[in-house]
Amino acid sequence: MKSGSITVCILFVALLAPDLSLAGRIDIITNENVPASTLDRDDVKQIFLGKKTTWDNGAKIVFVVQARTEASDLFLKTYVLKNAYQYDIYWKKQVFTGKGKAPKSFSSDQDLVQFVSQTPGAIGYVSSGTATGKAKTIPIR
Amino acid sequence: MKKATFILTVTLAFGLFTDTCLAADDMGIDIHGFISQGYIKTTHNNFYGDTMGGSLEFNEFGINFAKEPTDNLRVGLQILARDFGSNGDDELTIDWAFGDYRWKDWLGVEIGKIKTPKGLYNETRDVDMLRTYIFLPQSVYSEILRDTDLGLLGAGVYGDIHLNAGGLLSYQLIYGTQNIPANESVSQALQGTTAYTTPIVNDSIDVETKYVIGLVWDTPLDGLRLGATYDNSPILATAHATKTVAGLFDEGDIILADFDKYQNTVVSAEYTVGNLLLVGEYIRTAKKFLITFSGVPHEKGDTISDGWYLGSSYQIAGWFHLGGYYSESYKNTDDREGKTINKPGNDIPHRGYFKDACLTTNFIVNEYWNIKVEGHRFTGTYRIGALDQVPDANGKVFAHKGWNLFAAKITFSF
Repeated sequence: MKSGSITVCILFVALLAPDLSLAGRIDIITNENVPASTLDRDDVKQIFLGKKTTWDNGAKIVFVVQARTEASDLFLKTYVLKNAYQYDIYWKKQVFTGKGKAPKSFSSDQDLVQFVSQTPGAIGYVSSGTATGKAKTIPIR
Repeated sequence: MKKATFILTVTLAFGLFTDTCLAADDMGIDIHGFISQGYIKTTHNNFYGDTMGGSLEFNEFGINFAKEPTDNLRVGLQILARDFGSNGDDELTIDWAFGDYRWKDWLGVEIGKIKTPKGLYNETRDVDMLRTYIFLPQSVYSEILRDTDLGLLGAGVYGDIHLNAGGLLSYQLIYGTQNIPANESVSQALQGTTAYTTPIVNDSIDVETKYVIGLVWDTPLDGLRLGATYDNSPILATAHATKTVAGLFDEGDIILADFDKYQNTVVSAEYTVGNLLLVGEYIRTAKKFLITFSGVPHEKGDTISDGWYLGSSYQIAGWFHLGGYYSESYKNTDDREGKTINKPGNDIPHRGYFKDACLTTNFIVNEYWNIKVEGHRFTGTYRIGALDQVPDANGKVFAHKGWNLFAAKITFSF
């Protein structure tokens, strides 16, 4: 009975845990002037929730998202631990209480790469394998 | 500004929306808004306005403008109009308007009219599409006390403290003053504390200073948020009698309700896992008051009210969400059955409590539109005002302890 309960607990925790295998299908990219060479998962989450607003050198973080793409669903589920609706509602709450500005969104990997490449302090995400041009891919710890 | 002007304003706003947004975007101004229209039908008792006959006096309109002149500075304002039975009447009000300088993640300063936290959802209570329910649980988010919970004119500090493995702690401290309309929701609370309609008219409701503290801890357990808020504000309400009531007061008497202490404490827990959201909140309100009729003490008290709810919502599909909650609130924690309310002019025990079982559905049409349908089973009448009720031949109201509410609402937001 005891081992059965432990098995149930392990299965429950496994169900709640983010699917780490999905992370390999998304690349986090930044503008080349961003000082960070790696980020941890919590940094990524806090950045995309607007809770971490500056890089270590004091420059403003400009985070951008994709609009309802497969890459966006994967990214939100893996790193922000929200689905697209929950993330949308989160930012509407910020907007309608005056606490924040919803991130700029793009409808394709290519458009997002172009913006991140040209915008100091920018960070975004693309499907793995997307040509990132001048933007740099950041490993996630 | 009355309804016709309001409708014209809304029409113009939406008619010109595209061009306005394009022009505003060029200037770096963000514009967002929402408009909701609802319908309410109740049995046995009215729930703000003539809801027993079915009421469409249930709408909100909000539009906000925000700009970030520098990386750290943000300015903005939101205009809100709402109609909810006898409250609001679609008059345009400034919902929030402030300048916000964020120095670091852990420290920002804001000055202006600032939305105040109370529980997890007070700041967004007028924005329908941000939640599954039409009505937030009345135990914590009472409609009749709504005006005491809105923004403060003042200043505040806030920030997010990264606790590394300990999660994230967000704090907010606001100090200021509050303008409470003399004839809106709180007025009903003051006039409607008996089982009879009371012939008084409120002249003013003054809050000199108020402070609000809010904490939210995003715990290391993903999806679990814990919160606590506290506010404190003395309130002085002034009214006059419009008719002589034998043994109570004479016509023209000045009635003062002096709340030396009015403190709310709310603790909250919210857990999101996948498409499921679970939430529970508890509120405790401490009041110390003295009511005088033309200087003569009539009633004084030092009481504790409380309430709680447990709620849940689930995204069954991207377009369909199901939710519900059970909520209880009590006027006096020492008298949860309302037995001591049995006194002349206030002799209905169910004025002492309010229990609410709610089931709701939210249909997400697309990112702009949603439609909700909701049902409530109420037991008790503590959270509704006397003035909305239909008196019997003796002027007595609140005859019904058990009653139902049906509501539907459609919202457009951008």
